Parts: sequence; structure tokens; C-alpha cells
Amino acid sequence: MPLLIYFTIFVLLPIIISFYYSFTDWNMRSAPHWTGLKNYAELLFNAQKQPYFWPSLLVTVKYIVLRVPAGLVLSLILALFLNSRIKGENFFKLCYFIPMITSAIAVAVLWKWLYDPIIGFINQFLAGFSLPPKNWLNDTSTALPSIAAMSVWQGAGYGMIIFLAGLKGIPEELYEAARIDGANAWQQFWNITLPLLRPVTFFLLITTVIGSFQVFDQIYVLTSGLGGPEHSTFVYILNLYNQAFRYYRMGLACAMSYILFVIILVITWIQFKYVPQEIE
Amino acid sequence: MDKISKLFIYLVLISFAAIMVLPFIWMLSASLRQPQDIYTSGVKLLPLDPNTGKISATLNNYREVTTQLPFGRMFLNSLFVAVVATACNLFFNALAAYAFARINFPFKEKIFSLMLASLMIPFYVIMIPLVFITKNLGMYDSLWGLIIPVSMSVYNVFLIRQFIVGIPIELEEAATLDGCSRFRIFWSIIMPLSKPVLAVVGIFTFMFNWNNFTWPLVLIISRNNFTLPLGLGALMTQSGSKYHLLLAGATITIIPMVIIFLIMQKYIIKGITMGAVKG
Repeated sequence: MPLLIYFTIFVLLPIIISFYYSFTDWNMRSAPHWTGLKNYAELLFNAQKQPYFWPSLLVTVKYIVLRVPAGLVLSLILALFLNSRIKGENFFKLCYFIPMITSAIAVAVLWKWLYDPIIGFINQFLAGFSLPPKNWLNDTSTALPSIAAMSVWQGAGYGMIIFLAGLKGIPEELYEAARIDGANAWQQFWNITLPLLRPVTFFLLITTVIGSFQVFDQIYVLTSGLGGPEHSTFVYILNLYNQAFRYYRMGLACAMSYILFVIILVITWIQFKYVPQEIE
Repeated sequence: MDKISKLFIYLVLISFAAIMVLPFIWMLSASLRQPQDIYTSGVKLLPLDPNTGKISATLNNYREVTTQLPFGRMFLNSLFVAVVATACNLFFNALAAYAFARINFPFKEKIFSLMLASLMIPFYVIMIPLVFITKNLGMYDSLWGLIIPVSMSVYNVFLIRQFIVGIPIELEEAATLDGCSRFRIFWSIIMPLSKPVLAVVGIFTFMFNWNNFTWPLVLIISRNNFTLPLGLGALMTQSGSKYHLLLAGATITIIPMVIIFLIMQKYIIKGITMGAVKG
């Protein structure tokens, strides 16, 4: 069976090798050299040798906080409005979708241009309201939010379609009954729509958090792999990539990838445990 | 619903449609303008000459960008990788899905759950060993190296299997009585009946490979083997703020996907609600 061969060589074997290498010192050229827990200890406790490990985690968490709630709210608003029996539903869907099918690199090019301090559309737009221009991608206070905004823009269509599927699954009778009881639109939304959308919201929350934790492509090309300015966009995977392919510390990078895996498992577990997902 | 709230809804939907689509139109228009116009006047819906106000489209930016990087070659590379990877995925995943759905073999359930569990593992965990393995298979810095490691996908097998389980088994029983071989049944009954799910898997595999950046980034060195996203990324680091080149390059990367999307939109929307999105 081809799948079994494929799975063994390209999935199972790498998982095991990666785990083994995370306990070694390896540069991909010479043979790996067993060092036990040294890689993990260096990452977690040696801030002199690994000054960016914890800061990169913090940057990633900040990115998630900026990206995920805004993305969910925007997707939900678009889905709700699209679901209110309007004309041209398909046309709007098409429009919201185009950013999603586009390569992250092309989107990064497009937004770099829009964010440009001198000729960019965003500063020109602000100037129209006499607002001061900003150096969006080169200022430590705006770089990460600007990149998060770009991702929200790109991902809105995906969330919208998932929410829309959830909304179409809510039986119309519930709303009719609520209207007879005299519930207004807001009460209907708060007491019917939102609780019934919980499983869908939960799915989106988990997938977007996991995806955002692994953000890399856009930031890599926008900052030439440096995560600048002043490491303000130096996310976890960028650190991992640099350890592996700039400094050739493959063993250390494998250890980082397993730490990432554990973090993702823990986040997923917490969300399963503490975020209500059942419909009451 | 009263008129005012309806108007408000349309207003919000239309403004967001504009926010999502206008940047692409500005980009296309800017890529067709004279370079100096991009740097001196703001965004335009149409490539207009700022002095005469008439349309003046030019392909100069596209010509210049191909002198920086072999964009034609990169386009063909991207197409080759995406098409071959999609074909492999469709055939091998469907074959495996059929086996998991219909054929009994030892440890079937155990193998299937092990494979599903592997979906939890982030790509970055296996990335480094994958480079090493691909290198040892003699495929480092080659297009085949881009294809083979993604030529199958457990997730797609799972999706197709779920679909095949729903196909009535009587069809196959009748075919077996007529003396059809297993492969014949798979090829002439299962594959045609699975068209809806195969369309979804196909389009998403194509999109994933066309847009993939990380894997080519760690595997490819020679310019002649660049894919479009990789080349565009290199152009960004190389030529900083030369927007007339960057926007032309980005347009070349985006247009084919947009055309496919407009043709296949129905399957893409269905695929997302199946949860068939990676990354």
C-alpha cells in the first residue's frame, strides 16, 4: 500500500527522528551528538544564550490576542449580515473569499505597499482626515498590530463561511417562537443565535489559535527574516527557523518544535476543558 | 425587517466587499502603470496617465521583473508542482481511502487511528527531518522534492473515506459478480461516484501547493527551481520598495488562483465547510 510507505517515510519517521534529534547537538552535516536535555534546558532557562526564546513566545501570544478575537468578531458580523435574506449573497461571498485563496506572500507584497509611509494608501487616506502619517511596519508599536490586521483581512472569509454554515443550521422556528414571545432582534441574537453557534465558534477558536501560533510566512518576508523592528515581530517560528537554517542548530530547533507541540496540546486541552462548547 | 436596518446591512456588506477587493484592483492597475506614476500619484482603479487622464497601460513592469528573476520558469515550476502533487493526492489518497473503507486487513483500525493522531502534530515538528530525508533520497533542491513529501495526505484520505463509506455497497457486489477486479471496481465505480469529494480535495491540494512557501523555502536553493511564492519572497528581500516590480510579481502569482477560484467557487465553499483547509 503506497499510503503506508508514504506515511512511514514522510510522517512517522520524521516525528521520531525529530524527537531523537531534540536531545542532540546536530548541524545536519556531521553526525548528531547526544546531549540529553541540554537543548531544552538552554531554551527554557539560559537567557544569556537564548535571549529571544521567551520574548518570541510573548510576541506570538500578543499576535494571537490581536488576531483571533478581531477575526472571530469580523467573521461573525459578516456571516450574520449575509444570513439576513439579502440580495447578492453569492457576490459578497466571492468578494470576501478572494484574499483567502491568495498566497500569503502576495498579500504581504500588497500590504507592504498599502502600509508604505510615503506612497501607501493608508497614510494618504489618513491625510484626507488630517491625521498624522505613521511608519506602520517600521515602528515597534505598530508593526505587530499592522501584520495582525493584515491576517484578519485575509482570514475573514474563512471564518465567515464556517459561521454561515452554523447559522443555516439554526431552525427558523426558534426565532418565530421568540418573536411571538416578544423578543427583539438583540434578545434573539443573544439568547438563540450566540448559544447555538457555540460549537462552531469553538471550532474556529481552536483552529485560529493553533494557526496563529505558527504564523511565519508573512512576517518572514516582510522583515527579511529578522522579525524587526527591534524584534517586535520576532515570533516563535521565526526564531525556530533562524536557529535551524541561519545558525544550523538543528537539534535545538527540533527541541523548539516539540515545545511548540506541547504548548499547542495544552492550549487545546484548556480550551476543551474551560470554554463551554455544549448547547444548553 | 425595516428599510433602515436593511440599508445599514447593505452598506456594511458593500464597504467590506470594497475593503477585500479594491486592493487587488489597485494592485492590478498599478502593475500596468508607468513605474514613475506608481511613486508619484495615489492608488487608481484604472491605469491612467496622471497628465492626460487617459488609460495608458504598459507591460514594462512585467518585462523588467522577468529580468530580475525567471518568472516564466517559476510560473511553470509552480504549475508543475501543483498539478503533479494534486494528481498524486487524488489517485493515491482515493486508493488508500477505498482500502480503509472496504477492505479488511490486519491492524486496520489501529493504523487508521495512528494516522489520525498524527494530524495533531504541527508541520514544524517534522520539517527539519523532512529536509534531511528528502536530501538522502537525492531530491534536495529539486521540484520532485517539493512534490513527493506532500504527494499524499492523511487528512484527505480521511475525507474521501468518509464519503466512500456512504456509497451503497450493492453496486460493488453486482460488479464482483460480473467478474470485475478490485482495481476495476475502484477505478470505474468508486472514483466516478466520489467526484464531489475528489473535486474538493483536488482544489484544496492545488491551492495549498500553489501558495506554499515554507517547504520550498527550506528545500530550494537554485533560482531555476523557485516557485512563484518563493521567488516573490526573494524579490521582496532583494529589491525592498521597488513596488513596480513587486506588484507585477504579486499579480502573476495571484491571477491563476483567482481564475481557478472563479471557475471552482462552488467546491471551494463546500470544501471549507467540510473543514478541508490546511494551515
